Amino acid sequence: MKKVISNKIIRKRARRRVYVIGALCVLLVLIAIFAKQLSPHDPNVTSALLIRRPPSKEYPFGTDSYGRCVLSRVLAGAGTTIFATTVLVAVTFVIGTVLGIISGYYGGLADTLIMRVTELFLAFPQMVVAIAVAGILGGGLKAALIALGVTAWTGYAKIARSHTLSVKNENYIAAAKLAGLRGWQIICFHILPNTLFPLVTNALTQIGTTMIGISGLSFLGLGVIPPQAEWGSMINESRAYIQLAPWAVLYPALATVITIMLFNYLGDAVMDLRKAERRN
Amino acid sequence: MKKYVIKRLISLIPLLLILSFFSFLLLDMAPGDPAEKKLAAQGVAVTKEVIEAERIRMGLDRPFLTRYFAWLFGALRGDLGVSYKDGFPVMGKLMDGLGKTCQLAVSSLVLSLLVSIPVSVICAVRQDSLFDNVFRILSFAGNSVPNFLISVLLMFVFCIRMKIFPVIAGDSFSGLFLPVISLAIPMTGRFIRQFRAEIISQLEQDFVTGIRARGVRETVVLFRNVLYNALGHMITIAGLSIGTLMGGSVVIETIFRWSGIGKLVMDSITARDYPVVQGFVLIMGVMYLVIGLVTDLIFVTLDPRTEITS
Repeated sequence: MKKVISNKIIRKRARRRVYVIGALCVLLVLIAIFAKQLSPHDPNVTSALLIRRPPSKEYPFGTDSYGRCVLSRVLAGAGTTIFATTVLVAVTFVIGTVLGIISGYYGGLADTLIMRVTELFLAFPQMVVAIAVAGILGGGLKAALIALGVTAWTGYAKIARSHTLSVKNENYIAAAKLAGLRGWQIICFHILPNTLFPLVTNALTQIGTTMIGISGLSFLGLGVIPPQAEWGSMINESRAYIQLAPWAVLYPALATVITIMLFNYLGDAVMDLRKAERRN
Repeated sequence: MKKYVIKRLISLIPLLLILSFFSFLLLDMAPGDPAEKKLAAQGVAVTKEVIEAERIRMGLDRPFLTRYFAWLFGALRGDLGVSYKDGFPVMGKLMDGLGKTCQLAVSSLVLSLLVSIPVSVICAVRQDSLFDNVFRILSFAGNSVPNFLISVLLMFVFCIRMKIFPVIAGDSFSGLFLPVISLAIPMTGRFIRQFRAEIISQLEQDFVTGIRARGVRETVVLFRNVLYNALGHMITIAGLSIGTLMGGSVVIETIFRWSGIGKLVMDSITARDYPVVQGFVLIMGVMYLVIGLVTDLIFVTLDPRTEITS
């Protein structure tokens, strides 16, 4: 027999999980923000005397083949990755959501046009487009973000549209219309507040994937330009001498995995919470 | 059904047009003058006169749309222009690599499906059991690790520490092993999660309770009703993952020096040989569209109701 657990307890558990994981994510973001203060050395200072030193008290994660402190570079890389991901998710979320809501609310020609364009971009394989665009724009973090952003907004647009459609015919929207509110006012004060939670939840679940994309491009040499620290490019640089200094690969790898897992887990937890709240 | 197929084929035309336009635009997005880049890629000393002559030879003095249509009609006949670097046709270069990439992609797709289908079925049937929990954690982890990281770690363990596999993947079977695993792990993680959710949602349907109430054996319910109904969605999920696979193979082929289309495109990016990159986007895009169409048609065949609603 399955144990029967009341909805209230499920909700409570789901909420507690979100708080714990959320706190860990906030901690990670704080580490990224205060990376400069936390790192024991300058992440970009090279030294011919300290090449590929194993982890020690002075250099807890060891040094790479330029004699740079790996810990400091992992910390600096946290800033790069989290900043780039936040910018990309935020910008594509806003663009996609605005288009999706306009499309869902106004319908008609606007809807057809916007959705056709969305489907066009949805029809392209994202990483293929990203690699080609980043490669042709010639590398750099900005180019990588543009390359990933070209297709990333489509998912948000589709979801925003479907949620808008589901609240559009509610009575309070009709009431707002009768009260003489304009379209943009209804969107801002009625549709947005009622759809924002599921839309933000969806955006949270995309953070992990976005990080994988950014670090993948950097790994290929199409993201950040060295010597700027980023985990993907650090792993790529140091994999050439992995048998001499495995720590130079393993620590950025560990940082990547932990960060992506944490944000993916946050996405899952918020999604579960939403399901639990809806069951009510 | 026939009407639906025709409708879908027609809807492919604007998509293909936009795809080709986008691919063509890529070349113009590249900073700098194409003629100059072509000459630089060939190592020719550039003077103003040489560049001007090359521009005319490449047809760059013609307007953008004229060039686009000339290129498009070429592409329809299988001519994607020539490489900046060595003057060989782009199409031939891409086709040379495509076979090896398909080897890699198909092997990892098959491996992922072979693992994820039985696992997800057991997970869904025995929800919250030990098996389910273990594989939920594993699939979550697999889904969270970028494939370049998996391949670097696998390489470190198996090629450098244990020396079981060659570092540079040759044509041998053992060379295929690590690249396939690196591509398959994240995909298997994703498949298990999505398949499991799909099977569970089918198990919770009212008709399943109804069939059970009539005393039909559980295995029959599972295979004849639940899995059959889930199959369409599972094929769609697998079809969509081809896009990720295409991007992933660029990374994996670069790491393992596997001479497929992905390594070719990375080498071309490094050499600023942009027509090859352009051809790559076009071919991958067309393949992705065709695979999408095929999975849609399978879906409709399996579940004719969708034809009416769509």
